[in-house]
Amino acid sequence: MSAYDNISVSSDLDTFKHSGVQTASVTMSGTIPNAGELNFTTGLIPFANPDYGRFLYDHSDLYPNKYRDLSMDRVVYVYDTTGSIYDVVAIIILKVSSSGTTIDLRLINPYAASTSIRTTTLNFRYVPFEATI
Amino acid sequence: MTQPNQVSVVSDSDYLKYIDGSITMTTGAGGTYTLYPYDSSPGGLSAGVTTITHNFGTVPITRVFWDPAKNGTWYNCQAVSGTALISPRIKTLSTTTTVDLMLHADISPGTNIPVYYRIYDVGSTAISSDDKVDKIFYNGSGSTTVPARVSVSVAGSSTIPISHSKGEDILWTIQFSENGTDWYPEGVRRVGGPDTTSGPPGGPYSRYFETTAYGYCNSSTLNIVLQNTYTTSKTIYYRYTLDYKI
Repeated sequence: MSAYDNISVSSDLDTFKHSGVQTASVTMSGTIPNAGELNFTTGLIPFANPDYGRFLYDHSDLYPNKYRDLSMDRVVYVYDTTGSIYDVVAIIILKVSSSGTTIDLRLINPYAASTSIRTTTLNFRYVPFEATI
Repeated sequence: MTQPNQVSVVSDSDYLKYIDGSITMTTGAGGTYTLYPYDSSPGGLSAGVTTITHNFGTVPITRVFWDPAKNGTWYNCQAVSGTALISPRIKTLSTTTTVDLMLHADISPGTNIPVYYRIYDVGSTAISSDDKVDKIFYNGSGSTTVPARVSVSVAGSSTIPISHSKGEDILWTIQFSENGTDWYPEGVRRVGGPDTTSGPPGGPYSRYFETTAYGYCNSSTLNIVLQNTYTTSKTIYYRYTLDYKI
């Protein structure tokens, strides 16, 4: 096949166009009982089922304003308030529905003692895009 | 195939224009981010970092493809085969001016790993004939029954080969769904109910049932891998686009 000139738009090929950036945030804080869990969720992101989409997020404790990609990282650390060993992980769970998308964070405390987590905010950016001209 | 007619346009639509590049990356000695990707374990396994400046003024999205085994088979998201995480892999950290590509080795260091990236400007609303945009040449969809998990640590898996027969590297996107209505992008996991055998009655539970998808591709075939950690088989829907790399 012939290589395309990569600076022209072909009328016979589709391309991606986006539908605006959606944002949402969640702030986690509180105390997790021993062997217990805490759950947090963002508000509804009112855009469902585009042809494709990417989810990015940053972490207020670890490189704020530097956005990670959810397709590469779905687990983040959340530190405890004392700087001791009782850090926990937060699993980022994407929930898509016909009315939109929400993002849950599930924190599990695996320790035999309760742990108080440092107030931590994740800011999400959702970029849906369509595969049609 | 027939060379399509090409026209130059200036468009008011919200096309995703991009900058791109091909580089090689090598894992380093901790890199810039000593707390990431090993957030709580500074000094752990190493990550090589390459910074790409884009100056878009808004946080971009990045499609990044890499060839971890240097054998012409490319990946573009986190992927697990059996119990093995495909390694090394790429993570990204994006700001309004730069994207840091991080070569992240879970198992063993990688040297001169081929990497191709596209960084998309999501803040612009128009393109001209001087801008680059994707060229999608095919899309498709289907569904298949993915078997139950093999064990608590090994997902059931089905692989769908999609022959593109281009004789060159291409790019792709994949989405998956459990109901054919609600779609998730490759690399993320759709989480269902808890596996109640993974904790005490009433919880908390250490495992949840999940489905996910990822792809890998060479110069002739895209393989779509669908995975299922439920204890029963699961119908998983998929859809995909294929686009030219050049």
